[in-house]
Amino acid sequence: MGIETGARVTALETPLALGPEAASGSARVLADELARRDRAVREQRRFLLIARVGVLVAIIVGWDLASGRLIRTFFVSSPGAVARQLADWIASGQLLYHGQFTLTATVLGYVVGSVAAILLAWPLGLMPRLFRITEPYFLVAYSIPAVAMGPIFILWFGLGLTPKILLAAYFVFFIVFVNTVVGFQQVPRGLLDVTRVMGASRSDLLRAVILPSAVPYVLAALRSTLPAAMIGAVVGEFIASNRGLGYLANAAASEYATEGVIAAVFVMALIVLAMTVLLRPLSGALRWQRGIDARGDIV
Amino acid sequence: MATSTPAVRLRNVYKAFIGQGRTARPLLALEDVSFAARPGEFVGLVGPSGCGKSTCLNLLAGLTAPSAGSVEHHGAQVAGVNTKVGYITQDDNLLPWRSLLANVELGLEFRGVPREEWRRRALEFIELVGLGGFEGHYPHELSGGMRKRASIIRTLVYDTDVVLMDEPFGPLDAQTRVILQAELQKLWERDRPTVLFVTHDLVEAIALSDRIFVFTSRPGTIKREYRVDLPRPRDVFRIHETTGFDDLYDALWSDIRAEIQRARQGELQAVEGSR
Ligand SMILES: Nc1ncnc2c1ncn2[C@@H]1O[C@H](COP(=O)(O)OP(=O)(O)O)[C@@H](O)[C@H]1O
Ligand SMILES: [Mg+2]
Repeated sequence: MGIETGARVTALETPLALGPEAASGSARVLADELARRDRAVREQRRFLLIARVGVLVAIIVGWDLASGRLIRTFFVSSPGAVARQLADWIASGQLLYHGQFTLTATVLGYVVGSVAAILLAWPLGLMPRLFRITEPYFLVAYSIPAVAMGPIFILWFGLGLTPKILLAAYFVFFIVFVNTVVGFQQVPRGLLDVTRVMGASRSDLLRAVILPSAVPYVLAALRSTLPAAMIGAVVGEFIASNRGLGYLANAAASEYATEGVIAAVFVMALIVLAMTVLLRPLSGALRWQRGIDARGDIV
Repeated sequence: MATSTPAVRLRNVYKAFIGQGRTARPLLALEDVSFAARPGEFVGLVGPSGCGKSTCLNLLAGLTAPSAGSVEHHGAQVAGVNTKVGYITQDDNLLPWRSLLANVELGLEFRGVPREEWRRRALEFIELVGLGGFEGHYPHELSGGMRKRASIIRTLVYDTDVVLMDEPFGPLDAQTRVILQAELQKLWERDRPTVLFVTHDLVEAIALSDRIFVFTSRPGTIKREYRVDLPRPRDVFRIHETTGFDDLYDALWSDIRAEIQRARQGELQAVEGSR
């Protein structure tokens, strides 16, 4: 070869042995990383659970200490009194009796409101011109305080379950409606253009592009409107009813039985919480949306 | 051969855009643009940003109509969405809710190719660009280069005779870009479709094209046409060492530089005029 002069680029020997040992070393690193992540997730979950229970205990203890000392028992009752009230209601079957009406109105209202919203939003989301025509009317309907619809529904449908269902549905309707329309309208222009050039027919576009793109919006709305349904049902019961948790709370209030009001509200919150947990799979339903998981972070 | 109808052709095409809003002024994007591509030809389109290159591709894809002039595909007027061409847009435009495999199968599905054939063809192309093993991955789980490969084979898999490509390698890093250029050349040699390839990278244009059209700055029209007589297949990794490369590069660059300067002077004059 002789002696070379001038600038020279020298490739260094690979500093690390990249033989089979290295490969098994990499596998170990990956396995360790996975185990570390699993451990972190488990610890995170346990910490969350303990912290949440801790907050609950703190509230109850604080409430118990404050009641009768810092604040008059008449205003805040006490954890013991509320627990006794709940036990009474359970024993007498009243909780089940009243609870079932509220639960029914909430669930049916939620379903009716969501289904109606999606069925109406579907064509409007796909036909911009129709949407432009009807938009001001939806805005007016939306700007009516939902509570004000209560007396109207009662006027139309009497004191039974129907007005409560409708009121719950009304509270749900606009949230799902607006989200669904937006879901249909936000389909990225580029995706539509490209798929049309690919030869997609109208029904292909709907099935392969528009619907999947709208689904996350609809799911997000469905996840967040359960409490709204409960509010609607209870508002209906407040206005006029002789049964349901709203009635129970109202009746207790008219007798200045604070523990009864708090117990009824507590049960309502519990129902919403339980239903939210039941609906939670909705948020993980779409793998393609779970971008964060891919980074290995704790979600 | 000389008498065959061009694969695609723009004849005296004008395109004006009117923006949103009442006060928007019409803007002339293309002014009397005429060019044609022969069947099987790889044509590069270069020019300053905003000169109407993407607009030309949109016209050929039938996504927008010319304000005047005619847009032809094999001698027939393009009217409405042109499903006979493949269009690889600047953004990868993969469907985020479909796996890589399902994205590549999309066009076959729309075009009524028998279902048994989807999988086989899609997998063949996925292997061809080294994406094997990632069939089940969703777009957000792929790197930028992988998404780009996916968007290219998604179009090539259904085998149109004309393929429009809009700066497909624009956002990629330099290494990935050259690797993808080599892959694209290989894919193109397979079936030899007519390709209209928009790029701002002159080296890329020379490495891939048979002919290059240089646009003027807006309103865009064809300023000059260059023939790239470098032998094929080309080594895109060392294209700059090929004899003749330097001259071509310098000529292209001086054309474009002149256009950029002209546009800037135009702007200055407009500012002075408004004072
Ligand atoms: N849909 C549109 N509406 C209004 N103006 C547009 C539209 N599309 C493109 N233009 C304008 O037309 C000109 C050419 O655009 P384009 O074809 O994207 O240029 P290039 O791809 O060469 O950068 C630009 O000035 C751009 O702003
Ligand atoms: Mg462009």
